Parts: sequence; structure tokens; C-alpha cells
Amino acid sequence: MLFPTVTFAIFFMIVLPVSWLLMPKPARWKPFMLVASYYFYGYWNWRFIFLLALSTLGNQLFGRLIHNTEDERARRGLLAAAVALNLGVLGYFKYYDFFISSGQNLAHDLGISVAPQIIAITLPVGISFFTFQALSYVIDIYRHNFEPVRLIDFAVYLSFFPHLVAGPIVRAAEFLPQLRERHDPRKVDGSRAFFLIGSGLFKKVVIANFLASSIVDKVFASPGRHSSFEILIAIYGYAVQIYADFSGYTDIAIGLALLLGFRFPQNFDGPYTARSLQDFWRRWHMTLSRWLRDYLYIPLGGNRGGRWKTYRNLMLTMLLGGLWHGAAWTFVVWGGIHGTALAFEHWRHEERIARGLPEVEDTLGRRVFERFVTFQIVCLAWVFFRADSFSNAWEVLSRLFFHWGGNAALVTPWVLLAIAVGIGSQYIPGRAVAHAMAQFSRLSPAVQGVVLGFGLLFINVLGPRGVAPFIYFRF
Amino acid sequence: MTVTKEPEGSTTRTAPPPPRRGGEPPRRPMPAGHVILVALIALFVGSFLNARGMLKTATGLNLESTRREMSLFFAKPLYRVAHFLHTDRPREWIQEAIGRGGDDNIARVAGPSPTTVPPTTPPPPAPNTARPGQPVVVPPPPPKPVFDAAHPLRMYLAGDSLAAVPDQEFINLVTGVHSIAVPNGVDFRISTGISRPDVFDWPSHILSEAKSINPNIVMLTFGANDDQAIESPDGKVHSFGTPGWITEYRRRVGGLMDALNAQGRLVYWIGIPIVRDPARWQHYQLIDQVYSSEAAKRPGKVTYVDTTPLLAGPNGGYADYITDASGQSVKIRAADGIHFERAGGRRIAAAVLDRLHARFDLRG
Repeated sequence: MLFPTVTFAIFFMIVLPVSWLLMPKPARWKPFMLVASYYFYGYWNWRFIFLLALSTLGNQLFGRLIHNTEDERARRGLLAAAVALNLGVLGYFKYYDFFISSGQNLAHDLGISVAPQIIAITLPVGISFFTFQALSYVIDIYRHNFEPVRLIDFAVYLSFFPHLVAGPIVRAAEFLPQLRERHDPRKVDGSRAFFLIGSGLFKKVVIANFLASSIVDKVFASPGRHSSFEILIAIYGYAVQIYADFSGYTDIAIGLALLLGFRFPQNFDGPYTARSLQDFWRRWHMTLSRWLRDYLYIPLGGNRGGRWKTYRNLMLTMLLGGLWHGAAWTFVVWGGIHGTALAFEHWRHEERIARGLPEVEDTLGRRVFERFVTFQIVCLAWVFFRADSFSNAWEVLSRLFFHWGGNAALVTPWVLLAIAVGIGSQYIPGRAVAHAMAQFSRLSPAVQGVVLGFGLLFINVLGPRGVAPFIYFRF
Repeated sequence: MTVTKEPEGSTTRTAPPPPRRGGEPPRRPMPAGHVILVALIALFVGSFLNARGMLKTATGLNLESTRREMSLFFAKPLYRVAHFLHTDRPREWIQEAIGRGGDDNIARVAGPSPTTVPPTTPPPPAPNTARPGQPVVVPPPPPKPVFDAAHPLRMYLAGDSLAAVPDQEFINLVTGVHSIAVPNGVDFRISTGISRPDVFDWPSHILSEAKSINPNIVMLTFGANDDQAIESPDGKVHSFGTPGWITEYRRRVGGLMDALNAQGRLVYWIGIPIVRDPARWQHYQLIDQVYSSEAAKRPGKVTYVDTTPLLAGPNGGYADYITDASGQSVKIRAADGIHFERAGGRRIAAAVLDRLHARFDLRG
């Protein structure tokens, strides 16, 4: 069930009032929300419900065992088993055929003939997200940050439909306490919720889908037929497409959760305004960055082991972060580019300190320059993220540099406008948005409804026919 | 942030509320009832403004599904009221302004019917006049039509989602081949087919595009969404696979082939390859059978390309991966077990190109 569909609108308009009616009675609200979320998930493929249920039961069991065990060695063993089980399930569904085929090809290159049966396994939607959320629960219990909660609470947390299939990655510590809060039905942050849902729909349906069908898909499918200028605009177009697609989804998810009375952490904060890669990762998929920092980078040693270990940890974190996105070496290269750039930034910063150089003056020119360079590096990495193979990525990059001139029929004013809107919107001051939301919140319900109804008209009519799935569903 | 050992029922610190920068104007909180009312009004107003699009979407659902009946039950009166009140006008104005005026049109005509084509029988082989012991004199084959950079073989590639990857790979293969021109790229539309002109009227679209592009060859790929009920011109709905369905589907396929042939174009019809789901493959085999038999009725004018041998595994069954000529294992099918990865599309594209080389003298 995709968010921008009539089916979901009907589903949500049933869930929303029932949820508020049952909210004062958690013993009824929790089973209701669990059933609603499982129905939402099973709408894709009912078989996956069992996987979600097993993940819930398994992680709850490990959480309890870890909590009830005092011996540190045994606790560590239980944690290792829980992590191995979660990653094992994720690995089976997500990476089985990738590793088998890569192994087979490596063996072939070494002159060894092996022909295992390779089967493509259907990837359960959202598995990467709920696996990471379940891991955060078990690891936080191990770290004594958290006590196990009742099974029904954990099940509602893991399956809560607004974040279930594509995030944001809401940690147990962020969500579970909200189950114990008394949600005041007189104080719903509706104006922010409607703003997020509306802007999310616009980003996904109008901007992302338009750029994908107008230029990005065509250029990446046949780079050899396009001029350098078209390639360049297609790369920028993809940068905007993936931002609009993913941030659009999480905006809708955060808005829906707000309407139900729950707060999710922010997931994007104008990532293309970043002045460095480090800054970019504070603004892009923030919940994944924080997850990787707290559950991977810091346990690896973070920046505590000296310069080279910091670089190693950064690189490992980004390589694994790349692999999290998909079973392909192109994702590993994407992570490698980010890891290298982050390590370089660290090195440069430390060199300045070591040499006793003064801080560089923060001028407008410098800000523009840093933003420009950061955006180009991010776009370079996106080429590997979007390309379906290395040869495809190399072809895109070689065409980018060596085929200037020629026709650029795909670069229409509408494409340039969509890219400009996608990037420019990230520079809108938060105050202006807050002011608009405050104004909206003061309108009468009828006027608010009519305004939103016209918003639905524009989104529906400007978007291409049909609903393309969200890019991050496959991660 | 850490939260530990909170007693049940207490209020506790959670995810931070939305950041409020200094001096930010406060938002007035809404009661839950107010939120529900706003959402209902928005959906109500949005439905009236988008009534024509909703009717089109409802019409396009499976002809025999309860979902379609239910959707039309609401969408039809909604559209009538919206049309009466002129609330469907803004949508029309915007569509016309952005050049998509016909987006909401619902076609009722189910394509041209076949012209009466008598089954063509190949000419009988020439009598063997050679004496025993003498070599048989085989007449030289007729010269192949020549195409070159100055007069390229023009092609128009169209179809449903199955066309996307193979056709794009075909374009990649002929990039730099100056004797073949594909002026309009790939014309594909997901979730469409020949069975539902009310969703997208492919026959009219193809015939009109063919007139404007003037291709020598029209390459078509269909069928992924055609295993569903179909409506014949007399208004009867035929379930998939019934004799009535086969007759009507055959009429549409044959009619399109004839109409293109009548414009002087050759047709290359790409079959659906074996798919992962056996039940669906059974459906697709019936569809393929219609394509291949209709093509066989028009020898020399329509070529059917059987794609299963190109993509089947070593045992002739469905395969996600195959071993290529260099011994590397390559993924050829998409995750859904129906569509293609690029390597799979390339195999189909290469097979079509081989057939073109066999038939035409492509110079440069």
C-alpha cells in the first residue's frame, strides 16, 4: 500500500478516528494499531507478515534474555547471537544471490568451475529498516540504556505503519516512551503534519517522478546517446530526484505519525546546502547516520584510536552503509567515495590544527565554494548509486567529460525548473516555513480543507499517471 | 538520549518536539476532531476537483473485480456532479496548459479489426529438373533491401513495461549503427496493454505515431498486463482464457498487425519469455500463442520473436541468472520474476538485431 494512493487514503481515514477514539485505552489501542500495521504490511505480500512477527518475537526474546542475564560474558554472547540472527536474516533476503554470484564469478576468474543454483529471493519490503530498529532495541538493552518492554509495545513499535517500510529509522528510545505518554487529543500538531504530508506528496509525485521519467531514466539507460550537457543535468536531476523521493516519503511518514499523535525524528535538513561531507551526513538520512554512528562507528573505536584508526573506522562505516543500501558493488563504491571524502576532511582539519594555521575566514564566497564542491562530490557518488553496473557508471562519467556539444533535447525548461525547485527549496529559511504553518493553523477547518483539496488537485494533475514506488522501498 | 526504567503510565522524555527557532510564530494546536474534519474536507474537495481522473482510474481496474464495481459506484456519480458544478474544469485547464489535454480520455474503441487476410501459402518449391548425378541448381536468393546512413532503416519501438529494458538495450546496440534509426526512442507505458483501451488506447496511439514517424519497422512488446478480462465491441465481458477472450484478443492483435501492414510497415512482435510464477506463465503462453499464430498468418510482413529460448536456464525453465559466453554468471531477470535486468534485455535486443541483419543489407 503506497502512501500516494486512494487505497491508503481510505485506510488512513479509517485508522485515524479509531486510533484517537481508542487512544485513552491503551489495552485496546495497541492491538488495534498492531492489526492495522500488519494489514498495511501484508497488503504487499501477506507472507512477509510472518517474517515481521518472527523478528518481533526473536528480538523480544533476546532482549529479555540479555536483560535477565548478569554474567557479562553470557550477555555479550547473547548480544552477538541476536546481532548475527538479525544480520543473517537480512543477509539471506538481501545479499544471498549477490554473494553467491560474486563468489561464482571470482571462482571462475581463478579457474575454478562451480555452478551453484542461484535463485533470486524476493526482498521483503522494509526489512533493512525494521531490522535496524530491532537491533537498536536489543543493543540498547545490552548497554543498560533501556529495559525490555512488554511484547505488545515492542510489536507496535516495530510494525508502526508510518515508519515501517522506508523509515525514518525511529529508535526504541524515541518511540516506546511515547506509548506511555498521555496523548492529548486537543493538541495535535495538525498544521505541521498537513504541511509535511503536502510537501512530501509534491516532492514525490511531481518532482521526483517527473525528473525520473523526463531525463534521469533515459540518460542512465543509454548514456552513449546523450551529450555531456544532458549527462550533467541528468546527474543533477538524479540528485534532486532521490532527495525528493526519499525526503518526500519520510515527510509523509512524519506527518502521518503526527496526525496519530506521535513524533518521529527529523530525517532531512537541507542536505544540498551542506558545506562539507561531514555536514552533508548531518543533514541527509539523519536517522541512518545517527544509527551508523552509535551502533557501528563508535563501537569500532570512533575517533579514539588515533588518526589512521579514525580514517579506517570512517571508511568501514561508509562502506557498510553503502552495502546496506543494496546488494551491488556500485553501492560499496558510493560508500567508498563518501568514506574517502570524510577521511580527507578529517585529515585536512587535523593538518590545519597541527600546523597551527588560523581558522579560514567565513566569507560568502567561501560558503558558495564549499557548497558547490560538496554538491559535486555528492553528485559524483550518486552516479555509482544510480548506475546499475560499473560499466554503466563509467560510461556516464566518460560521456560527461568528453562529449560536449551536440543536442540536449532532454534538457527542457521544465527539467531545469524542477531541479531548481528541488535545490532551491532547501534554502528556504525555516522561519518562513514556520510562519506559513502558523498562518495555516489559524484558518478555519473548512478553509484549511479547501486549501489542501486544491493542493491535491495540483499534485495529482502535475504528476505523471500511475504511482512509481519509492526508491528507498528496495533498500 | 537515554531513557531507563520508566514506570508504566508515566510521562517521559521522548523524541524532541519539532525545533522551534527563536521568535518562531507559534502554531495553534488542533483538536483531533478538527484534524479529521480537515482531512475529510480536503479529500472531499480533492475528489471533486479530480473527479475525471478518478473515473479514469476506476474504469481502468480489472473488468471483473468487485473493486472496480465499487470504485465506479462512487466515481461515476461523483464525476456527474463535478461536471454539473464545473468543478472538474480547473483540472482540464491545467492539463491543457501543460500539454496533457487528453490524459483523462477513456477510449471505448477496441482497435481495428483484421482485414480479411487469406492464409498465405508459401509458393511450391520449384520442380527439380536436374538429372541424376548432376548438382541441383539453387536459384540465388533475392537481394536484400539495402539501408545505409543516407537511407536508414527507420524503427518505432513501443509496448508495455516489458518493452522498456529490451528496447532501450536495442537502442544501445544500434548506437553507432548508422543504417538503423530509432528517432523517437522507446515508447513504453507501464500497466497498459492491448486488452484495455480504456486505460491506454495503444492501437490508435501506435497507428498515429507510426504515421508521424514513418518507420519501416514497428517493434511491439505487449502482454504483461493482458491476462485479464476483455470487453468485445458488443459490450460483452470475456474472462481471460475463454474462447470469447481469445477471439477478441486475436481480433485486436491481428487488426493492429494488418493496419500497420496496410501503412506499408513491417511488424516485429516480441513474445513474452518464461516467467517465474508457473500460473502466470500459463497465462502468458496463451497470449504468446495468439501473437505467434497471428504472425504466422502474415508471413513476410509480421515476424514473431520467441524470447523464451533466449532467457531460459540450462534446463529450459525459468532462470534469474545465466552463465554468459565468458563464463560469468549474470542476472537477467528483475526481482519480480517477469521483467528484465539489462543483460536479459540485451539478449532479446541482440536476437532482434540478428534477424534484421539476416533480412536486410545494413551498411554502416
